[in-house]
Amino acid sequence: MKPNAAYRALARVDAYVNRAYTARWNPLYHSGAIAVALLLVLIGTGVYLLFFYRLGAPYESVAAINGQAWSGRWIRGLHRFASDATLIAVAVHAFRMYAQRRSWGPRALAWISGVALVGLVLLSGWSGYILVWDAHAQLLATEIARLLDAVPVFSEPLSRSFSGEYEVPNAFFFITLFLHIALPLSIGLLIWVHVARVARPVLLPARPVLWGVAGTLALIAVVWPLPMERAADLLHMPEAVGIDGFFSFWVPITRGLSPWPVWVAVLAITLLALAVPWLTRPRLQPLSAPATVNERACTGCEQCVRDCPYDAIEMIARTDGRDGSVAKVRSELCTSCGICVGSCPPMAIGPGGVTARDQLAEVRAFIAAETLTEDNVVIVGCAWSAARVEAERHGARLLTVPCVGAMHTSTVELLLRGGAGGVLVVGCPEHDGRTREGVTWTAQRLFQGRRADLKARADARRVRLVQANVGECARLHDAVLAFGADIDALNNLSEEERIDLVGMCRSNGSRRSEAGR
Amino acid sequence: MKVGWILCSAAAALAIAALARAPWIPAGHEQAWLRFSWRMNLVATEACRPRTDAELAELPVHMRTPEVCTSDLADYFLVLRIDTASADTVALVRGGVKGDRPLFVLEERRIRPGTHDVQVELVRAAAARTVLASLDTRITVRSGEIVLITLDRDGDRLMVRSADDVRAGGTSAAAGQPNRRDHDDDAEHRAETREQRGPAAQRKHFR
Repeated sequence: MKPNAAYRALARVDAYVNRAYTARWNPLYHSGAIAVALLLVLIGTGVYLLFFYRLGAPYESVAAINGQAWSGRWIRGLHRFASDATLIAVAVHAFRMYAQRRSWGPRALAWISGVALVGLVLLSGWSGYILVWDAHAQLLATEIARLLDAVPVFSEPLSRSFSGEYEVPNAFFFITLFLHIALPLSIGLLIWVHVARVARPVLLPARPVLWGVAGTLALIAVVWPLPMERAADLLHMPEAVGIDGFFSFWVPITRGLSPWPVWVAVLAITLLALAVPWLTRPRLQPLSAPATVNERACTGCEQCVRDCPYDAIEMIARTDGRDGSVAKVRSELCTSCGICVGSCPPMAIGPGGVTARDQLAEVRAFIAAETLTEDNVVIVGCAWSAARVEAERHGARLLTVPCVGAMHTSTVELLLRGGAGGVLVVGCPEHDGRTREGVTWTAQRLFQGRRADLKARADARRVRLVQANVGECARLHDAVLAFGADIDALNNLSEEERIDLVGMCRSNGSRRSEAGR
Repeated sequence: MKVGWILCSAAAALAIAALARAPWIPAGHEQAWLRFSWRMNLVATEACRPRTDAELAELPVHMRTPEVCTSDLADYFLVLRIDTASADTVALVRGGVKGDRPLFVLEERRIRPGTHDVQVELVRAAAARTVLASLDTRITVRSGEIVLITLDRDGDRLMVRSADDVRAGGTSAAAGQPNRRDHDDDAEHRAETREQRGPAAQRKHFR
């Protein structure tokens, strides 16, 4: 199955950003964690602003904060820019999950809670803008009130609060401030639900990314501080006002419309967003069944429990009369990603049709169909990776696997034993795996002795892992050429020089460490 | 690459900072506005009669109230005339699902900046049409300004407020002064609502 247009577009953007930041520090890969980190920045800066905010004089107190040249001005700017950046990070994160089809099945909970999180972030942002009570707040408040008045919920029209008949009461700002503080607490709780079905959730980005994002926003807040808009005047229509293009982009659009089309649009967008898990599910593929365990072959080593990205495997007492425990897959949590396939040395676990034994059968068929020689490099990759494009453009020998993260290392060994000069495994970038940690585990299995590791009898110098998405075909092609040259050089060595001493030492070392565990 | 990420980060930060203060000119700022806004209690007409012995006998003991009442709420209208235009009658909708909540007025009219003659009548249409309050005044508005016409706290006269009045901490005395006819009508209206004729007779009261 070829990747969809959204995924291809995303991969192209990722490729450009990777050139600037490298795949390791690409902020787009850390979008979800960046959103959480920015929430912490918002809480920190918000607490400072809270010390100086006065309900009785909202505009004047914010103006006073803005007058603090050494602290308040840039902290207020950082608070505002961080909220905008949060919205961008959330949008990027949501689009990534959609494009990579990571929203259906057991992941639907994360998607739906994510939609709710977006709503809470918007509400929290709007309440913050209204607290300033400047011309922007006036436009935002009157527009929200106008829209809410169309829904027969409130006994009195909210718009009358902003008619200028009397001063906006302190109670209004108290309620708004309460919402502005309470909503982030709800966001915290919902984030917990959001990651509830994920093992080892990454809630904060790598430090360079974290400090890079926060530092850049702080710097721009210092260099280009936010101006104060005119104070709200309910008996005067603002002539020109600076609005927040992220949270208030809709105000210029809806002001000319009657409320009901706006509500219909909001409802339609919300329903569409909530329906994404169901809309994307049938298009993915004939769905794999959840993984199953062959109890007779399972040794109870617990590696699959450690590797599963969704905490879907647990250990239970054996039922076949033998001592010890055996892995059991909780099918309601299993996404059929197949990561467990690569983690099991005796090949005892995996979704139906893509078990390690199925993979070996496919490799045998591949070897039988291809005439492999020592000069040949076989590329192993999934249909979503750049490997497919490399094969189409340059005629490389390609073995397609459902996911590199789910690939058992025995397939690589079998390819080498089948005559291939080298095996180039093409996986997703490390922080952007469609099966989360899959490619990380594969790298460790191939080169660092993680179970199920590549055995010492396979020459690790003839194996290479390249992390390239479908937008990085040129980089992959360069890697293929370089690897081909290395294989040629290896083939030209004498029999004695060909002995992989480093690999043997590594293998012995990993065996010793396993014995020590 | 180092230059690349610095440029990308700077561009992203500048884009965020620029969009955080996106300039926008709201449509209609070059116009002026006339806004009518107030809240008023409704006058309900309640007709009560004693229950007959037969009716009382049919009811359970705990439901035997001596009277049975039906109430009727009047309809309210706002009649606006700006300069020489023909009168614009706006039906005012009562608040609440049952329409028994206080009546809220919030109407806006876009007008050209300048001087305008404004006539406003608040009308109650029950058995007879009663003008509860009226205003006949001349206002001068600047572009972007909103002139508010509202009912005073006692609910018996319409008055004009502008941004200048609010800044000065009051209402425009000249513009807000109702004419003689208003006072007469209101006095009559108050007298009417205070009318009490005993439990079995028709009476009116505030909701």
